[in-house]
Amino acid sequence: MMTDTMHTEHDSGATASPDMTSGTACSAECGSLSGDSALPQSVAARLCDLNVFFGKRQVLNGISFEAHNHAVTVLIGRSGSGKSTLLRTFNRLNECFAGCRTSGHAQVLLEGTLTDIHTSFPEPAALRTRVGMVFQTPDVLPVSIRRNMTLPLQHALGLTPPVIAVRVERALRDAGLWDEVCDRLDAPAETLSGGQQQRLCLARSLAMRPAMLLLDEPTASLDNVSSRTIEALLGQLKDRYPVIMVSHSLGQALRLADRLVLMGSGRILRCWDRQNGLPDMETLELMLEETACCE
Amino acid sequence: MSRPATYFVRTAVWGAALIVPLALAALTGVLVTRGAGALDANLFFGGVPALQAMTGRIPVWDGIWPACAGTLSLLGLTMLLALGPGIGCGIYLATSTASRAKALLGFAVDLLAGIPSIVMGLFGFTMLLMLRRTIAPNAGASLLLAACCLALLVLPVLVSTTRAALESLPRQLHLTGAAMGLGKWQTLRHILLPSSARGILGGILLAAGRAAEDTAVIMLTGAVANAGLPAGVFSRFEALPFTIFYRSSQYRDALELEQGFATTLVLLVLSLSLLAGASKLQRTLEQRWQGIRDDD
Repeated sequence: MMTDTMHTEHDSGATASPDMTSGTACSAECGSLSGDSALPQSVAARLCDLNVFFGKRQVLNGISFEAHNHAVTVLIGRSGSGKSTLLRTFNRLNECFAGCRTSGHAQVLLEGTLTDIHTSFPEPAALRTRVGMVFQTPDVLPVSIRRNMTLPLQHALGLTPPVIAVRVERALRDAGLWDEVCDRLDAPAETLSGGQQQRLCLARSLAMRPAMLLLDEPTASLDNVSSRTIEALLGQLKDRYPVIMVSHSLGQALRLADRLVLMGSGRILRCWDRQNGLPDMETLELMLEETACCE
Repeated sequence: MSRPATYFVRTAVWGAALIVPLALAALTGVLVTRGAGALDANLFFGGVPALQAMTGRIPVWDGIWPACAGTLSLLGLTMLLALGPGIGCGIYLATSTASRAKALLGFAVDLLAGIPSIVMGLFGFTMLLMLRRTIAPNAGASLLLAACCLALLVLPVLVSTTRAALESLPRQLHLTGAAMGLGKWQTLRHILLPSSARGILGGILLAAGRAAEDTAVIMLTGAVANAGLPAGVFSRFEALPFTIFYRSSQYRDALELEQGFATTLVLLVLSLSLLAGASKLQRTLEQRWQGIRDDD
């Protein structure tokens, strides 16, 4: 539902609401939305009554949702349920698609303040340097391993070569890739295995020192061993970066999620927190089947 | 597919693939047989000492050196005029969202691509007459006029190949650039254009080849049989294709015909040199962008 508060956005003709001072107007579907005072240090991102349209088709419908610091939030649901669109809301990547319109509020914790990502970033590129994203298929550029790492640091952040060198090594170490590639940084990135390529993409995001990590089914195209390596990495990284990920695997979702979000037909159907207990696999499968019946 | 059908298709495909090398071998064979004998300093400089001919201190009237210089000048000026608008228009068509203006522009480019070169030459000639009757009574056929008309002729090739090269890139590359925090222009400059450089360069080579060989346009807009080295962009000039046409149609003895074939060989070598130079440049630029170093 489009509201009076919308205003025109950038390229794709997207729309968004003006600045939101608290978030108290939102009814909570997933998480406490009683304002910043409730859990000021733990909220990493917040959506409030978010709607996304592609042309005349509404893909997300009145989403309200919170993701927390030091936690992995996993979005699950059937194909077409709106998981990836919801994920792309946080870095405004939906605006790269023709006919996208967005209404509602979206905030991300940047430098200790929940910042409205539409009103505070006239150009989405600046936001995307702060919200890193890894895609389903490893999207390494057809350049060397080093160049893959340095290109965004050089052109998006404008860093100098000495700073870039430090960041590259640190990020590759954080992604558990340094020992495997340190002696062949000038080799084509495409010569790495699928799992290594995905970790390179992760390292490329980490090198930007993001405020948040978005992962869109990051292990969907990988074998079991590579998937487990990525999962172990995410377990370590969540202490430094809030992670929101879409997962195609219920087992993986249950292993990783601190907060589990079930989506269907562009809405959040159910949320669970690990501290209050996650559902078991059978229950989840049953619920997914039910969402299929309702669609 | 049945076994005989598979065999037939395979044979047909092999046969089709053989046509190209056979045609090339026949063509170069004829040219080398008929023209190699006349490939000497006399062909280029017509009896004038090479150094003095090349520096223009003594004019060359019987050699093809002025035509070589004319063709290179024409090619340089044409590409200078066509590269910016051609590649720019291709980028616009590949990156802008669908609109009526974009559809119209695409249609105009297709229409321009279908115009025969003789029509383009006539257009240039008509433009010249109009200029003489209006703002420039002293205007004449010249290197600049010929280059402008050739630039118009090769523009659609540049637009179409640039557009096709950019549009054939995976959509994910755009998203990757955007997700890394690069703006639209930065993504284009640092990811999309380098990724499509090979295709764009192919278009530049096609355009350069067409500009180098076209005769119909230049014979109506500035090329003459004897002009010496090009004196400037407003002067008439000699060019290899026109020299080939002139010599092979107006030859008086066997030597002149042989020289016509030899001139064709020179034009062929010039085109191949351009191709080799462009490929080397492309490899160098690609390696610089990719940052890949061979350890061996």
